Amino acid sequence: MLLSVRRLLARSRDAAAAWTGRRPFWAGGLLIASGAEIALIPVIGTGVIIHTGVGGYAGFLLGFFLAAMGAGLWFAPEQRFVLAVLSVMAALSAFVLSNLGGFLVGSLLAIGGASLGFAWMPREPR
Amino acid sequence: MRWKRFWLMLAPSLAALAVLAAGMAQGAVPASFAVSGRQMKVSATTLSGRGVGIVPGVVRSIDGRPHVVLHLSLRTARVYGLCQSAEVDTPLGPFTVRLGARDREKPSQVGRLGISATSLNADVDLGSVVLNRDAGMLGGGNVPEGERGDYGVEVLTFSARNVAADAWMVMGGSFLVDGLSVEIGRDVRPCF
Repeated sequence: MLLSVRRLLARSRDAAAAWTGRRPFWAGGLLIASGAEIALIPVIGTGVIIHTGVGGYAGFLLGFFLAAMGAGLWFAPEQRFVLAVLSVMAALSAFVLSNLGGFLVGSLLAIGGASLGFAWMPREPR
Repeated sequence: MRWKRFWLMLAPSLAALAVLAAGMAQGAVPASFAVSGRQMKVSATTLSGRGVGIVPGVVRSIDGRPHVVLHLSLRTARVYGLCQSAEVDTPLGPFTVRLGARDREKPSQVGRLGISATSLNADVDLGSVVLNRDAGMLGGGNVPEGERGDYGVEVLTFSARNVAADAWMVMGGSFLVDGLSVEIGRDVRPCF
């Protein structure tokens, strides 16, 4: 019983490792995190429900866009060059349009993630 | 991983970010802000505008506590020496964030400025004032919707010096700041 649970765990860990190995996992993850940060910073950590102006909408749109680019890296890694360039553009726009890109953190995460995605290569089949 | 490619992408992106940041610091790139929230301090050396309305209101924080405020709205405003500061709790202790115009001689242009303040101090010069106007009837939809029957103030032109406000919320429909400086740190001075 215990043995089979352990085997199941090991198998699912192997499956997860295979899944993350087949795609630019960290690149996509960083982009999704950056998008979430940029979209949520007008809402979290402030204390009052706020009315946002242009900056709020730009933050939501660019945040969702960056998160979508991250998901794109995961599920369509062959498009990584286009996705990475678009992400960098969005990160730079967010810096100007939305709270300095989530106070710089979001923009930096997005640029880092985009660069990782740009550099990623599928493993050579053996 | 091709690390050469990584740097090929990272270096120009960071350079572009640095250029944007430098441009903002010199006022070449306008920055847009939607930061708001906890009680903060807003001050300006001079503030002049047209189309002002003041009505009482309530803002509610996320913990559900209501705060009675004055909603002050300006249709258009020119601000000299704009400064905004707030205390932020971080895992490293309280920090002060301060945004301000670096050059006190250059005005910032604000459209549809709204301030929800608990206290407001200024030396003012008002033109064409209507005190105790019905708060539901102010200025043709440009000012916040007060409750009908509430106390309201309407002012056509307005100029104030040494403005200092404890505010819950500042909204700018559009904010054009020339030479924005942003500081965060433990020893940053608040605006007043």
